[in-house]
Amino acid sequence: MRSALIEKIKVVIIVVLFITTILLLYLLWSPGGRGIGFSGFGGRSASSDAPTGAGLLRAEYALRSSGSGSTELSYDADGVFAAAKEELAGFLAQSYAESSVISEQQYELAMRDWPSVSVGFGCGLPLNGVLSLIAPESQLLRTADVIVDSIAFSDAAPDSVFARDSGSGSHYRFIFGEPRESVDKLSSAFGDNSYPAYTARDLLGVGSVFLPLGSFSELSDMPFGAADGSKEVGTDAARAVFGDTFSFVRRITDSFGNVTYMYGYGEKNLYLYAEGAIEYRTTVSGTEASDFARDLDAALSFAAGCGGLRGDEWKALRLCGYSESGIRVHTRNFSFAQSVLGVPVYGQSGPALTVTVSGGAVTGLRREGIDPGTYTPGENRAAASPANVIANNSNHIYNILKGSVLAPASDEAFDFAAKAVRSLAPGYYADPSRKLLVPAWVLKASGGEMFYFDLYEGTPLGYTR
Amino acid sequence: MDYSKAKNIIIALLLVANLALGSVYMNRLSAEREAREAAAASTRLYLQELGVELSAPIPADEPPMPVLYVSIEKDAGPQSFDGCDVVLSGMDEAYSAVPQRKGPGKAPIIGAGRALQRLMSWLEPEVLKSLEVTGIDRIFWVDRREISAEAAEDTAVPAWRVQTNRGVFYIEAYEN
Repeated sequence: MRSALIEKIKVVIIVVLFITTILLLYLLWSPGGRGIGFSGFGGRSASSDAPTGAGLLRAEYALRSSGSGSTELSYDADGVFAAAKEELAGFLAQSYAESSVISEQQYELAMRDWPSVSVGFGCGLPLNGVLSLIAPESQLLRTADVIVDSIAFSDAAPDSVFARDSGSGSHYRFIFGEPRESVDKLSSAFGDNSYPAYTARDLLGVGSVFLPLGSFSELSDMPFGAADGSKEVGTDAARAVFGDTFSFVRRITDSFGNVTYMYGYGEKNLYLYAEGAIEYRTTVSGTEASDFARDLDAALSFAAGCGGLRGDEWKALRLCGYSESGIRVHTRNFSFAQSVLGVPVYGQSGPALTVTVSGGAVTGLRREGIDPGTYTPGENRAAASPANVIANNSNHIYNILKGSVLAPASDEAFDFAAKAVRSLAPGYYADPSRKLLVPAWVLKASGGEMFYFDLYEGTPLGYTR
Repeated sequence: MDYSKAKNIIIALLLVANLALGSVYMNRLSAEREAREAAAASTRLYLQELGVELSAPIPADEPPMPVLYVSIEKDAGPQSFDGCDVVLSGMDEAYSAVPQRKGPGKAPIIGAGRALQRLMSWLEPEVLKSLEVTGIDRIFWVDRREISAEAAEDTAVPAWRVQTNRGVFYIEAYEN
């Protein structure tokens, strides 16, 4: 009996000594000395759940010319762009390419007097960047450091690819060694949903953008909510941005419910707005050499880590805007629009996602996505004539672009507005006051500004600088 | 197998391990205490060389601390958390930072000596010659001097409050 008690006491002693051994080991080797410096700019924001840049490159419109004076325009350009990418990849697989600058007249001759097909991006993109997305293994034309907003193929030169930047009025021809039947292939991918099109010069007397005649649409108003309004999304975004330092960043909540996370004295800030928008800014840029495709993927990866991009509301994201600046530190601004019913959506602040990459590191992000509600198809009805939209709103366009409040001379405003249009295509405008997606003509100006006009009435809905 | 003998051996081994680990730990604590005392002595000497009078003890403790999430409220009176005052700067004196909850992790802080050295590096030599440090303590500090937006909630960070004959100074305590 006594020995049984002694054995039980021994077991208790062993357990106590074991626990104290573990405790002493923890005290001696616990990581209590870590500081709270940056865990790399962007924290753990990089996400493998991000869409690829190549997948987000889409055409806003396609043009097909018969070569005998008639041109069709289609906003349903995915099939034509897929064929265009195949043709580009085929050309880039060759061993030889030569670049040349051509005149506007030479370009229009090739497009109008010969069967031709072109695809437009709706914004200027670096050509070598676009080609690196389409044919990453080819090194042809990688030194072609030019901005283009459309790529074209013409039977006038089956061994060539043409490109244009309507913003600067520049035109290019890239000559390869072997001809291809590109026009036939792209033409066969052209769908039935197209309209006769004329240039603004043909319809208004000035301007190079193609405008459709007699377009119809079934788009109708649709309610929407904020895509990222939940507290969990905001907290996840903050954890992703700040990484290990999240537990120690300053968090300020104002009386409206907007939350600011601030590291240091503003070196790195994350803003979570009560209405659902998320904004990130850092004053520290990267030091890597510039590369369009890599910066684009970095932008998407960061955005995916900072709130996610795989929800239903973020599917069919598309690259819709681009600008670049800086010499010593190259800065690129990417804009991405959500798509609803095949058309891009823009809000008062512009597209849903904009990301700035400087020196290879993300230095800015704003996401304000929408979550579309139930859609009730409208009747198929005639859209407002784009030519009339430009003509009737030329004063408005002029005043916004010029920053003027005085009424300009009508001819001056008209000429200026018509020349400033880079593209005009259907989309949705997210009206913040009515919480409605309103069908709209989205007019993009050559400086990156966007105007939204009611698709059926042609009246101004808003604009984004 | 003789389980009783095995238990005796295990007890003996664990006792030896505990004694060894305990000894190492006590030596470490002793070394850390000596280092803190040396740092405090070094700081006193440094202040003396600058001509700064020190009439308060330099606290030796510098435990890792979390941030403190606070709400900004009017007429709530002085606040404290875990034995440290919660101080709000940059707003009307009627407002206080009321503790809500502490942050999820703790991080090391600089000691009082280093905080004093930082403060001395900010001040002009003429000021130092007539400076007298009358108190130094650990606090949670909300600095709203550079923040213009209205705040319902904010975050207090660990800081050292240094009271002198020329005013009160605050030095953030996190190491970064």
